[in-house]
Amino acid sequence: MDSTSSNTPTSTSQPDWARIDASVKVPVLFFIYAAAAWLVTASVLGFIAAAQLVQPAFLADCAWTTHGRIVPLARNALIYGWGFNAAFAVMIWMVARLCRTPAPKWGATLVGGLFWNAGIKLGMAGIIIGQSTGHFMLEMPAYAAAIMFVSYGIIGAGVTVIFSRRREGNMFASQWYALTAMFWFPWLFSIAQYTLVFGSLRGTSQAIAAAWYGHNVYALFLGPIALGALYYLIPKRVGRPITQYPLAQIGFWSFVFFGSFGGLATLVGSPVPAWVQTVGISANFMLLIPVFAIAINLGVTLLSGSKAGGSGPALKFFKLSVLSFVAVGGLSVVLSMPSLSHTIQFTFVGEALDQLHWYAFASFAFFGAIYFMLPRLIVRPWPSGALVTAHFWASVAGAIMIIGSLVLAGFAQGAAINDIEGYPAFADVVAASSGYLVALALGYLTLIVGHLAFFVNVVMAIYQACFSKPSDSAETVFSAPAAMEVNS
Amino acid sequence: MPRRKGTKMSQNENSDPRLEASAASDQDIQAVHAALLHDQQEPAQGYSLMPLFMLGFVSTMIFVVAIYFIHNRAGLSDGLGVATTIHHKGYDPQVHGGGEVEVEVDAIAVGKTLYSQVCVACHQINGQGLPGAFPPLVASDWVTGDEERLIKVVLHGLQGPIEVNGAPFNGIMPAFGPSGTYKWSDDKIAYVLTYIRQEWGNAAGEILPDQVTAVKEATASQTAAYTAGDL
Repeated sequence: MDSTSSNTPTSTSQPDWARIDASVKVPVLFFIYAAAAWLVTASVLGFIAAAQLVQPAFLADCAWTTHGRIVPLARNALIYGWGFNAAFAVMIWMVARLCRTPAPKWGATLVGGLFWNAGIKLGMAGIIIGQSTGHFMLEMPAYAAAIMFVSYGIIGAGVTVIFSRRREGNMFASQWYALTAMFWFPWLFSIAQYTLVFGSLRGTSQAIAAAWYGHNVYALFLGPIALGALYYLIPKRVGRPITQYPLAQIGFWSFVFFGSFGGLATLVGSPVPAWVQTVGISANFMLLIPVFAIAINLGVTLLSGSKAGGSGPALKFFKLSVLSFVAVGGLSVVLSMPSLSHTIQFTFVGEALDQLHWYAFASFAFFGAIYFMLPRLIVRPWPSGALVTAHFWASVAGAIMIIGSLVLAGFAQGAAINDIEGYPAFADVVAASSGYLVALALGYLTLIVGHLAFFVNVVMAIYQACFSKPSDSAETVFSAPAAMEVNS
Repeated sequence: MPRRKGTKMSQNENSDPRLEASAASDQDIQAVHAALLHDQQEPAQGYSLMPLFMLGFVSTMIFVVAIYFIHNRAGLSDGLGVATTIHHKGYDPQVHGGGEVEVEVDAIAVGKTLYSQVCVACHQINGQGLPGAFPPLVASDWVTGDEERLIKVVLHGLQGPIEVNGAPFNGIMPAFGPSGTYKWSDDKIAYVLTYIRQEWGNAAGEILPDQVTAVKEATASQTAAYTAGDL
């Protein structure tokens, strides 16, 4: 579809985009497969953790499956397993497309990917047998982190090589986000590992460093890559340029600058110096600037051209992703008001915000991007339309149930424990939220259904690509789009 | 500005939702957006409201957040050296801190917390104790009467038979002073005594930490728990 313009001479009959897609096909398909498999794992672990909140005896007899180990396992599978693999797939494909350069070689990237996933498996085994470091989002033992760090370097080097050979002079917003995120993560990861796991920080400053790292995995890696995918694929799907595109520059710089301090707001009410908490709350307020700019850029573009480009799940996922991005920006500000944070700080509401960041915003953007990418990589449509529909609706229903029940459970919990006059017993505080936790467990069951549908579809697609030749060439399967409409 | 009047995106043959038809080529996306940025730097004609609105919005946010920050910057006003001393391994509040700090304490509130952590186990939440073992604190002359005797009981403990409000009791009251296991400070003992003297309808006077200190020094030789007869 993305036909080369007629005046660009190409050595082969294939259009540029088809050669680029073919050059990154193997590693990107591997990352999509690994991501989908981790996603199923994460939702199963998430369900077990939620079930243990409802029925504490569930799987509690064996140390390996106690709640304290299942929760970090679920989180690591979701973030490093699903999130990072999906981000790698999107990043490699998007950078190659926008630099209009086929990847020279893919072998090293594939090896990097294999080791990244081996590192996660090793790290999760370490958590299971009780070697967790105990730091939020850095639970995996140091030996696993070392493997992940090196394999990330290999994957990142592959993207850097593609970028250094770029044939397109203009840098588009998606490239700002994807390439900067690629360089930020090793910095975040190494500093956090050095200060927390290898240990030069003690006491309160550990909490500050962990909050900084945990939030920045979202704010400086998964979030920017998801935004990059949205900036690229929304105009591509609706056939119209980004509304008020110059705002994207303000949005980018303010998002990465203030976003990196936003995590400190999770420390409100904890024994850290008051000015640290103030920095976090101030950053959340300032984040209204990028939220506004990005909402205009992406939201208005989606609304203005939503009729073009046929139907399919990608645009629906993008709409929900942008909506969640705006919602989490607004909620972070509203919930940091002292009157509310007094009730909801250190309750399930914090996890609800994390799920809005990680799942409803970043993951939905990755889902949409994968629905767009994969048919082009395998040069044929998704194997099953029914599974696509099942995945979409189960993900949406599951996300609403999980986030909704966490918010309600958090408020119930916070209100019960703040009832000082009534001498609350701890058991009563737990009981106050237990009804909502049933809904949480059901939400995870719904997600398991949706993610299994997604995983089966991905496996069938890869199977087809491995064992049969596509019936048509890429430019016959995807017809060329019309020239982009501009009437600003 | 390059206005390429394309035909409206045609709903061509591949409207299969499983293919996610694309409506713009990579070249178009990059060329059109590069032109949009370029136009912004060299405005051709007229002006757009958006930059003006954005300027106002950003300025307002900076203004509001700066005021909020100044009002809640605790720790930063003394300079970064003090604000970050929690990171310093060698930090010692005795050396680096600001010396003595006057803190207003609500004796009743602290006393209530202490009572509900420890005393409540025997004397109960309503201060009625348990028949035969733990005497009531409500309307008891031991509580609302002689202050020195009350302080002595809490400092050093009391054991053996005792008669309170006409009923006999025989139990052990542990010591909360330096000779016991709790080793409460004089402040804590004063707060919890003030609390029990003014709760459940009791209306006796406050007990100050200095009184506890005085009794403690006067009875420093006492090592075992008192009996009712001693007092």
